[in-house]
Amino acid sequence: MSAIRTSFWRDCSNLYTLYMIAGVAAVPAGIIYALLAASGVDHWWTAFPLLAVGLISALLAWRYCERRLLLPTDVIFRANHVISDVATVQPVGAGAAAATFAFAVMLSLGSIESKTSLKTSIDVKPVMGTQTIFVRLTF
Amino acid sequence: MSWSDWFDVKGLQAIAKHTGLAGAAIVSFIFVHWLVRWGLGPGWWSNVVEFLEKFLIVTLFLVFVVKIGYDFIREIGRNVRDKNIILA
Repeated sequence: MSAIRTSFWRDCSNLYTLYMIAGVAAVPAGIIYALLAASGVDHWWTAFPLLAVGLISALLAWRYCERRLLLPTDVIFRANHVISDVATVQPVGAGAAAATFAFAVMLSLGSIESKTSLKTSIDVKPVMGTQTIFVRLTF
Repeated sequence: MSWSDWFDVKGLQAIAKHTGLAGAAIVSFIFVHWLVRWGLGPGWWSNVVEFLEKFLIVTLFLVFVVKIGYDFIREIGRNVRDKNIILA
């Protein structure tokens, strides 16, 4: 019961923080609107675009902070510690390079879809007299 | 089809949580702006802060609507997947 209560308050605190972050992210657009409005330029064609900019920046800040700052501790631990070479392709040819690149793009898009943090990097190294492509995934 | 086909207890809890915490965030911003205006005293800058406060309240309300709308659509999606709602 205590764990459930702790989890409830942690969720509430995270959600409150996200709303505050969204509000702060909308401040630059808000300042522009406020300066215009206080100077007497208070029309719908100034208010609506600035409101759209404020809303978009608030939602982007929300999404960024939700994924980067408010991840569970174990996910952050894995993000910092697990680096794995998943695929090696040799020797390097145009087809192999294209296939490797497509593989990395697919993995990245899949990670965005499943909301996991994953970075892909491709580097080419000389191994045993051949050029080898390493696809490195960082979770 | 009853209301519970659209919203289960979890969905209602999520909406209640969003409503309460968005309200709390708006009240926090109103308090901060009130403090700043009290510090500045009456004048042009106080006017600017007042307009900024209005802008942020509207923006936070829109963020709340977007987030609730997202939860609502996800809830409908889950009901369709579980065949509680059958699309013709």
